[in-house]
Amino acid sequence: MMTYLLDVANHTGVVTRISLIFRRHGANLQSLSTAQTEHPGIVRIVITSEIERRPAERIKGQLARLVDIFKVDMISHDEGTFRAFGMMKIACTMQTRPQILQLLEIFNGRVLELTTEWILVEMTGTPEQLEGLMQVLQPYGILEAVETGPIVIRHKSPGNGSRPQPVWEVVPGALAAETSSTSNSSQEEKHNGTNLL
Amino acid sequence: MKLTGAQIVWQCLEREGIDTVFGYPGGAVLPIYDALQHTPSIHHVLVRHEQGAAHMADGYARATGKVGVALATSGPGATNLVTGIANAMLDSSPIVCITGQVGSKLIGTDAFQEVDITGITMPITKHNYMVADVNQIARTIREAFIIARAGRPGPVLVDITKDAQIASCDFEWDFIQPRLRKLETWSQPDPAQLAEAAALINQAKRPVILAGHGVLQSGAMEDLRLLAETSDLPVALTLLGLGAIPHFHPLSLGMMGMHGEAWVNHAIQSADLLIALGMRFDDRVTGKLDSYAQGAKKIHVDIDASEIHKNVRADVALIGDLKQVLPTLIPLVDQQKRTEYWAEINGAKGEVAVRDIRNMPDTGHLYAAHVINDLWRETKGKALIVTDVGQHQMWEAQYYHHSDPHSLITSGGLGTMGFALPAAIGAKFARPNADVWVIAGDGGFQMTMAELATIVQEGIKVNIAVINNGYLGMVRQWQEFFYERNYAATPLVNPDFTKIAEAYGILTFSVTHRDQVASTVRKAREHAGPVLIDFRVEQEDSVYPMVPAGSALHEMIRRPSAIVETAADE
Repeated sequence: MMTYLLDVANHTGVVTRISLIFRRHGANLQSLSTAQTEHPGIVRIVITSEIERRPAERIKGQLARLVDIFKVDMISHDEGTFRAFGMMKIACTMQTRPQILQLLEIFNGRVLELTTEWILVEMTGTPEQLEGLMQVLQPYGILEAVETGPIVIRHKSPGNGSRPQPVWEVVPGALAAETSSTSNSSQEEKHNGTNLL
Repeated sequence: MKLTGAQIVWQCLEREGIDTVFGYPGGAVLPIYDALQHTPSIHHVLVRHEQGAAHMADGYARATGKVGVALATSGPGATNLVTGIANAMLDSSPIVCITGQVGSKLIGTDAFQEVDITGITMPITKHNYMVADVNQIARTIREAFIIARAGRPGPVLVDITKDAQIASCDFEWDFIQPRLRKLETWSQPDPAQLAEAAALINQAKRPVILAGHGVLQSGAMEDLRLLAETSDLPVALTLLGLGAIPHFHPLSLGMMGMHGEAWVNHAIQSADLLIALGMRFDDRVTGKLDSYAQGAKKIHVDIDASEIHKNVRADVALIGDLKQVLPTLIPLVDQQKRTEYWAEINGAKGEVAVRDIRNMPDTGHLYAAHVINDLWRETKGKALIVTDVGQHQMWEAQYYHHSDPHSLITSGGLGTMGFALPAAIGAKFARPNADVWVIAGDGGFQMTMAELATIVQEGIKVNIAVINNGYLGMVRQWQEFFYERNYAATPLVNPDFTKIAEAYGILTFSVTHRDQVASTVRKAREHAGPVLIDFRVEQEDSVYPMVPAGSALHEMIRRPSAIVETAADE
C-alpha cells in the first residue's frame, strides 16, 4: 500500500488531473481524502493505492510535474500519524448487545444510536484499528459500514519542524523583456522560465 | 483601457512576441477573428484542417525555440487539434493552443459544437485552462506562455468561452500578475552529485555520451562538444538529438537505437558508463531494458525530474538545464585521450562498414537512400529538413548527415504520420530564409496533403519530396520480417501526386532513376515557388539495421550485403 501526501492548489479539475495519472498506470485509488489546510487556497490530498514500488515512483514523478501541485510525498506508516474515520451499523440481540458494547470499549468505538435490532457506532483510528474492529464485529453481522481514507500529519515536517510553505510565485512583468526582442532575448526568456516551473 | 476579451487575446499574443498564428475560424471563435483586424503585427495563416494548425505551431516552435500558437473553434475544431497537441507533448515542443468554447451558460448542455476540450486534453498537455471570465483572459494567457516554455517545454491549451470573448474589461498589461507555484531552481546542481559524475567519467574505460533533444532545446551544443572533447568521449545521438554535434565531428557516432548503426549500438551495449544528456531512454533507443547496457553505470542529466529512474535506473542523477549543469561539470572532468578505446570503436565501424550509396550498382532502380543522400549533397547539408514518420524518416536520419543544430524537425515520440507537411509550413514561417524540405512517404503525405492549399494561399516556398514506394513501408517491413510477408492493408493505390500538386498550382517533377535525382533537386531549389517531387522508389526496400521491438539492442537484423564506404563520402 502506497500513501501519497499532496499539497495542491484549490483549482477546478485538480483531482481529475491527479486521478488521470493513477489511471494511466492502471492503479486503483483505495482512498482519497481532500481537506483545506491552514494555507488559504491550498488543499491537502491524501491518496492510498495498492501499487508496486516501480510504478508508484513513476506516478510520484508525474504528479510532481503537474502545474497545480506544490508538493508530493510518499510516506510509510511510521513516518506520520494516520487517522481514518468509520461508521458501522451492527446487528444485535438482547444477548449479543453487552458483548458488542464491551468490544467497542476496547476499541474506543462510540455508540451513536442504539435500537433493539442494531447499534450504530463510530470510530476514529488508524486504518488498521478500524479494520480490527470490523473483524471482531463481523460475527455479529455488519448491516452497513463506511470508512473514510486516512488523513495524515507527518512526524517530521521538513525544514526545522515548520510546515513547508507552498510558495506562489507572482511574476509581474517577468517576461516584459521579450517584446523588445534583441538577439539574446531568447536566453532571457529561457532564464526567466526555468526559475518558475 | 477597456478592451473586449477577443481584443485582449490578440494584445497578449502581440506582447508575447508572436508574429504568426495558425488557425481556422468557426462559430465560437468569431469574436476573436473579428478582433484580428486591430492587430496588424500578427499574421494569421489559414490552415485546411486544425491538426495542421497544431503541427504548424509545433514546427514553428521547433525551428525557432519560440512558442507556436494555434487557434481553433469549439467542438470539432478543438478535437482536430488533439493529435497535434499530443505530438507536441511527446516531443516537448512549446505551443499554446487557443480554442473557442460555447457561451458559459450553454456549457454542459450538449450545445452545438460543445466539447469538453480541457477534459479531453488533460493527459496530453502540460497544463490547460478554461476561461469563462473576461478578467482572467490576460493572466491566463501569460501563464500559458510561461508554462509552455518553462523547464521542459510542452503544449498548453486555453479554452475561452464565447461570452468571455465578447465581454469587456480593463486591460493593463503591466499589472497582469501571473500566479504560478514556485519550484526549486536548478541553477546549482548538487556538488556531491557533480563530483561523483566527474569521478565516474574520469575512471571510465568505455564511456559513451547519449545526447538527446534536450541538448538542442537547452542550446547546450557547445557545452556538449566541450565535454566530449575534454574526455575524448564518443557521442551517440537520439533521433531528435541529431545535429547536437556535427555528423562529421570525430567524436560523433551518429544515431543509436532501433535503426542506429550496429557499431553504435554495440558501443553502447559494451560501455562501462553511459552519460545521458537530455534524453529519456525511450524504448526505441534502449531495446529490451533487461539487457540494456548491463555493464554500464549511468549518469542521467535531465531538466524533468520525473525522467530520472523512469526507464533506466541512474547511478548519478543531475536534475537541471544542461546549459547550467554542463559548465559546472566540465571543469571537474580530466583531460584525457582514449586512443585504444577509439581504435576499437573505429575498428568495429570498419567491419560493418556502411554503404556508400554512390557505389551501389545502378540496376535501374531508385532507392530512397539515393534520393536522400543526393539531396544532402545538393543542399550541402544546409537544408532544414522536416520528415514524416516511417521508413523515409529513418533513411533520412541515416543518409542526411546533419551537421547543424535545428536542421531536422521530425515527429519522434508520438510518431505522427502527416506531421511533415504542416510542420514544414510552420518552420518556413519561423525561418523564412531557410531551404525547407519536406520528406514524406506516400502514406503520411496523404494524411495532411490538404495543406498544399495553405502553401499556395500563403505564397511560401516549401520543397516537398514524396518518397513513393506504393506501400505503408515501415509497416510492410514489419510484416515482411515478423508476419511472414502477409502484407495486410499496406499496399497503397495512390493518386498521381504530380497531378494533385499541379491542381494547386505547384510545380512538380517525377523521378524514377538515380541519375535524375540531383538535377531535379537543383531545379526545385532554383524555382521561386513551391515544388513537389514524386520519387518513385524501390517498393520492397527495408531499413537496416533493425532492432526488432522487444529485442536486446545488440540483436540487430543486419543489412543483407555490406556496402563499402569510401573516404570520399566522409
